[in-house]
Amino acid sequence: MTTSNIQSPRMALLAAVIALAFPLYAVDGVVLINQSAALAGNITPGDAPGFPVTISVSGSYRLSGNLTVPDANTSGILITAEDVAIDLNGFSILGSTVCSGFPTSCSPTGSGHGITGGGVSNISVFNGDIRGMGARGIYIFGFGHRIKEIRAVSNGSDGILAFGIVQSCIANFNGGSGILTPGLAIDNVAIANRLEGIEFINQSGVGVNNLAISNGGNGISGEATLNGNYALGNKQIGISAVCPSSVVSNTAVNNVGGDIFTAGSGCTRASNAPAP
Amino acid sequence: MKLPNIPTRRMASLAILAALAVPLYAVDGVVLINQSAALAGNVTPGDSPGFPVTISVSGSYRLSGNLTVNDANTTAIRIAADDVTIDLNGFSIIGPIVCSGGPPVTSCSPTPTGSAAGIFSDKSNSTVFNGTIRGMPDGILLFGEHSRAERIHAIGNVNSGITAQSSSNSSSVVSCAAGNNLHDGIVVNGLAIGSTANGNGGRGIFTNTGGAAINNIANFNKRDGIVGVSATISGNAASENGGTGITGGCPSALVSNTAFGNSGGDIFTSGSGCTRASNAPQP
Repeated sequence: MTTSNIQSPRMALLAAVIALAFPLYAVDGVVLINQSAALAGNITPGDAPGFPVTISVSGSYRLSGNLTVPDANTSGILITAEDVAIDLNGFSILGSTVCSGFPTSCSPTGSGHGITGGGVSNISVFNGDIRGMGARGIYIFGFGHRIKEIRAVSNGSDGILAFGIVQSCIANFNGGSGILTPGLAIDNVAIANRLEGIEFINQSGVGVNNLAISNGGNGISGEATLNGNYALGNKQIGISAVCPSSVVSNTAVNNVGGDIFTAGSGCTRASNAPAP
Repeated sequence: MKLPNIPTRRMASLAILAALAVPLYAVDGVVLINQSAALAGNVTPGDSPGFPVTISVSGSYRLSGNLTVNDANTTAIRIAADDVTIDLNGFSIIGPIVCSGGPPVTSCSPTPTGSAAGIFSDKSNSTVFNGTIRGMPDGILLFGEHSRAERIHAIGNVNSGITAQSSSNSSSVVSCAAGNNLHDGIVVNGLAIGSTANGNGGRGIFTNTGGAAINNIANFNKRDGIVGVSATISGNAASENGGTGITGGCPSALVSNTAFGNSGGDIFTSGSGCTRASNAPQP
């Protein structure tokens, strides 16, 4: 029947529109995000087509492909809800910023972050890369966040700025600092960032088993418990602590501004190289 | 209407060939790799049928079955693009080589005549995790910047189990096990943490200049257990190695390590500027 020839394309188009307008779900109920879904919008209510992808509903989200943002002033994902987990699933959020040289310089820079959220709590981001954003790779205020196994490389500003736990991440060649947190930084690598390698931006941080090499500022710094870290060839101090802090079992070598330094009184220093 | 048998078979064959030539995707967009996909080729553009599987596109890849390589001189997976993650998904890459003897292991056969590996990358931002690589010339060779190997078992390979080296010391080897490899277990420029290296024919764990070896175990290796040059060496244990248990090239901090029964001495530092504290044996 001839009408079927007309209706089939219409129905196919309608199905395509419906598919684009509704979130995609993995078999385990996780919401999938890829470039097509981002451009279509409506991943959560209020998410406009294009970037940033806005996540306004608590839940679990997973990349099913790389995301490429259009310019240095556009963010990849904006989180506006509490209790959100994003599994990058081995994929990348990619921008156009390229950082090179030593000290590192980046171009173009802008206001776009890879993943950002302000004033929200309990955000988890894990298992993927964020490279080439105009501003920060991850930039999340609020409390109770967990950033794990993220590689933040060649972003215009800081690699990772998050309040909570930053674990097993790589933050290298960024235009600001590698990792900024007031919480726990453990098993991370921060190399050749323009400013600090890892900085604790509030009191009572803990930095354990981190590596900071060839950063333009201090390797690892702040008021914190610093244990088992390694700092090599940073342009300022290798490991710099504001007292009271515990600085134990760290190694610092060939840092231009000095290897291990404590400022003020009430610090404990033991078993470091150089001693004490 | 009943179709003729011959065209039906042809179409079925074409459909099978087409399926083999197109990458398989998991429901979450990850590209799946298994033996059939490897032999069919085109996992990414430019990937020829057979091994190595060449990954030329940034993205996320996952094994959906073991990969078996029958030639001792052939790499299983070659990463040819930046920003690639491979989840071995609990599966194995299995080569034809069998290592035996020991511990430490004493021989492997057949002997490869060239360089090949379970996974090879000279690109930046490579991540490999969650599986086993056995019987290859090298287990994993990651030479790009910012590389990471995690939860990998590298067992019975001819050269080293896991090598992750980069000019900026930006590589990480985390929670891996490297055993019965004929040469070193783990070689890393950067961070080695929470891993084991037992029964290898060379060193257990070697962190080249500027790195950290933390909370690792190295036993029954033919040479030194754990070696770090200008490194933080903390919380490790090494026993029954043929060389030293733990060696630090100064300046290094060797703290809270335990070593016993090592033929070349338990804890050793060379040069000046090292700190030793809270180790067993002391200081």
